[in-house]
Formats: sequence, structure tokens, C-alpha cells
Amino acid sequence: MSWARRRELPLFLSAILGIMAFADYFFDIPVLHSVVSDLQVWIIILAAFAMFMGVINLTIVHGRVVMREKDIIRRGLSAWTLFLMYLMAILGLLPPITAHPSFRWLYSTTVAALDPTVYSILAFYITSASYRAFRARNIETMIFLIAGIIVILYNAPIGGYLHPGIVTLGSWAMNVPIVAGQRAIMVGAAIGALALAIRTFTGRESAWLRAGGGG
Amino acid sequence: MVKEFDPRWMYLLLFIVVGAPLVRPLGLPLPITAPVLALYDKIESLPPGSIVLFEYGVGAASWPEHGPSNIAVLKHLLSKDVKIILIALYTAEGPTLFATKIKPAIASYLEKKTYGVDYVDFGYVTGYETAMAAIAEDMHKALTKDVYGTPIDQIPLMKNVKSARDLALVIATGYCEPYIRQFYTPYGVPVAIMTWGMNAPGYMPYISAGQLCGMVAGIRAAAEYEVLIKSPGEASASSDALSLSHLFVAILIVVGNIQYYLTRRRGGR
Repeated sequence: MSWARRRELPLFLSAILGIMAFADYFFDIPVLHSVVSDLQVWIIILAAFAMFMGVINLTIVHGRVVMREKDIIRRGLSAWTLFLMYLMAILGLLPPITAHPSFRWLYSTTVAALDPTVYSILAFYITSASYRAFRARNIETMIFLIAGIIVILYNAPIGGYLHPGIVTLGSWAMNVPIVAGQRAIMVGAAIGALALAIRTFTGRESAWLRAGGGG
Repeated sequence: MVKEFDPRWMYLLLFIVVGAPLVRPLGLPLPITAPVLALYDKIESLPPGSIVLFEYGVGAASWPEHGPSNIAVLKHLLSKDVKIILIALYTAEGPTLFATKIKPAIASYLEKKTYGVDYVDFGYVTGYETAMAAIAEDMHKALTKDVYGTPIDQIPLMKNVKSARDLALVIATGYCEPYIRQFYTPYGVPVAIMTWGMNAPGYMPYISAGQLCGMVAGIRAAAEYEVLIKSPGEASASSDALSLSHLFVAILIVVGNIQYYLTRRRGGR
């Protein structure tokens, strides 16, 4: 089975399948269409398996910490992670799947409450950063800051209340310079993505074959 | 050297600025922005019986940004004579949040509709953009059962819906680019997005190019939508808090720069 370990096989498969999907998007070829359509359904199934692989991976990583780690806090946190992951999975699988009252209660009282809480802490960092970091050190940063303040106030309902000009200026900033700048970035990114696709199809880009590897 | 404020005072002030209007709303006017009005008008102009694909992939972390917009737009859709295909593609949390938070908020609207005939829910489908491509190509192949396990062929609403060609509108949560690539460009299906407020500037080129027919970005836009459908909710309640917190940040930037200028004049860094 040494051939299965060779890097040429995944490179060849990715090139062929990538070119097929690429061609199907632009050309109307019924046979190709049918094959790519099947491949797309396979990927939905594969993606579901990837979630299952994530569970196995988390179990291995945290299981190793629980078994071997000397630091009691790290062991405890890993054990807690595993306990909660399996608790959620088991409760989620109780019929009716993901609709069992115990699953919903646990989700509503933990995930649904904690996630926005952690996210909202960003507001305090942004407030502190707005005071300490956003400095007009030269003309360019001054323009950037003035534009930023106008867009901030435009995005808040109070902007128009403070001064009607904020709405006019904010609307102009959103529709003219921001659109122009974003278009330039998008076109650049699209050309970059195309170049990356060509490199992948031709086997020149193989970083994805090595977990965590570069170039 | 001009002394800087202790950040803890800023945190306390922010807490007051956000909390006070929630307790005592100021009732500031809320002008309607063009992308929000565009989505409202698009839904209003849908012919009776139109099929709309509604992606409710809301995550718990982004609930304050996406939740109110999902509720407001769904209320609008359910008040019209349109058929709705519900699905979650962005996150697996979607169905749980739909059941626990969105469904109770739109319960009175759902009561007037029949499941399977007026709307259908396919739950979470893995694969994200690849799943979108498969769904757009052939729904009966990509979505075999609904969230209750009913085979797609036995769902009356899905009898005449085969692919993206049968859709009148796609409304999605999160990022708009995959939907434009998989629904708008190949099939010409209009796409609208409910996204984070910070994404609004980045998505303006899609609006101006007509690739997005509407956008509800963040809680401010959700509040606007609630005003349009005359159904105040979570977003309207936090509209004043949003206003004052934004103003507070703008004031802090100005104060910080005045201090910086004074420090530099006195020879500091």
C-alpha cells in the first residue's frame, strides 16, 4: 500500500477534481455536470464525517492530557471539556434529536448565554483601544480617523440626530470611496485565488498535504 | 505629560452608556438606510406563491447581531403569500437557536401557515458552499429529508421545487459571497444578506453592482427592519444603547487625540 502514501495521488486527485468542478461552473457539459453534482453531494457527507473526526481528535488530544499531564488544573480543564462535549452529544442524540428538553435547557443556559457574553467583552477592548490607540500621528491617519468617526456616527441612529451632514457624508463614504477601495481589494483577492487554484491544479501548491506545514 | 484616564473608568462609563437607555429608552429617530429598504421592497414585490430560500445559520455568539434581523425578516415573509424553505448552512447551532429563540418569536405568524405546504425546515446541512452548490443544482438529491425525517418527495411544498431555478429569492445569514457565487451568478436568483454590522462597508460593492438585492447589517439595520414591518422587537429596544455607545467611542477617539496633541506639544511621546 506504499502507493497510497505517495503525495502524487492526492495531488493528482485534487487537480482532476478541481479542474472538473472549475469547468462545470463555466461550461454546460451534461456528463461533467452529472459527475460534479454527485461529487457535491459526496462532499456534504464527507463534511459530516469531518465533524465526527473532530470529536475523535478532541478525545485523543484531551484524553492524552487527562492521562499524562501532571498539572492538575490542565487535567481538570481537559476532563471538563470531554465531559461537556459528550454530555451535549448524548443529550443531543436523545429523541427528538437536538430537540430534547434537557439538551435545549443545557444549550440555552450555557452556550446561548456564554457565547454572546464573551463576544460582548470586545466592546470594552474596543472602547479602551479607541482612546489609547487611534492616534492622528500624521495627515493620513488623521484622514482615516475623521472618516472612521463619520462612519461610526453614520452607523448609529444618533448620527443624523446630531447633524444631518453626518448622514450625507457617511452615505457618500459608504457608496463612493469604500466601494472603490473594496472593489480593488476584491479584484486583487480574486486574481490571487485564481493563481492559487492554478498552482493547486498543477501540483505546485502542496502545503495542504502537510498538517501545519508551510510552502 | 498629560495623565491618561484609568481604563476602568471608561469601562464603567460604557456600562452606564449601554445600560441606561435599555432601562429608560430615549426614543431617538431611526432613519431607514437604502440596503434595508431594498430588501423590504424586494419582499413586498414578490408575486404570490414565490419560493424563498431562508438560511437561518445563526450562532449563539452572533445572536445579538443576527437574531433580531432573522426574526424581523421572517415575520415579513410569513405575513406575505410566499413559500419558505428554511435551512441552516453557516453553523450547526442554527436549528437549536431557531427552535429556542426564533420560533417562539414568530409563533403567531407560523400559526397561520401550514408546515409542509407554506414552509418547510431542512435543519443543518454540512458542507457550506459545496452544499449550497448541490442544493442549487438539485434539491431533491442534496436534501433527502426535512428536519422531522419526512422524505423530500412527500413534502407538498417541494413537489414543484427542484433547483435554484425555482427560487424567487435567497435570504442568508453570515457571509454573502458564497451565495452570490452559487445562486446569483449561475442562476440569477436575487440574494439578500443578514450580516454583522462591521461587514456593511465591505458588502457595499455587491449592493451597488446589484449582486445583493438587500442587506440587513447588524442590530441597527435590524431595528430599521422592525420599524418597516411595524413590529418593534429586540433590535428596536437596543437602538438607543447602540447610538450612545457609538457616540461614546467617537468622543473617546477625539479626547484621546486631544491628549496626544497636548502631550506632544509638551515634548512627550
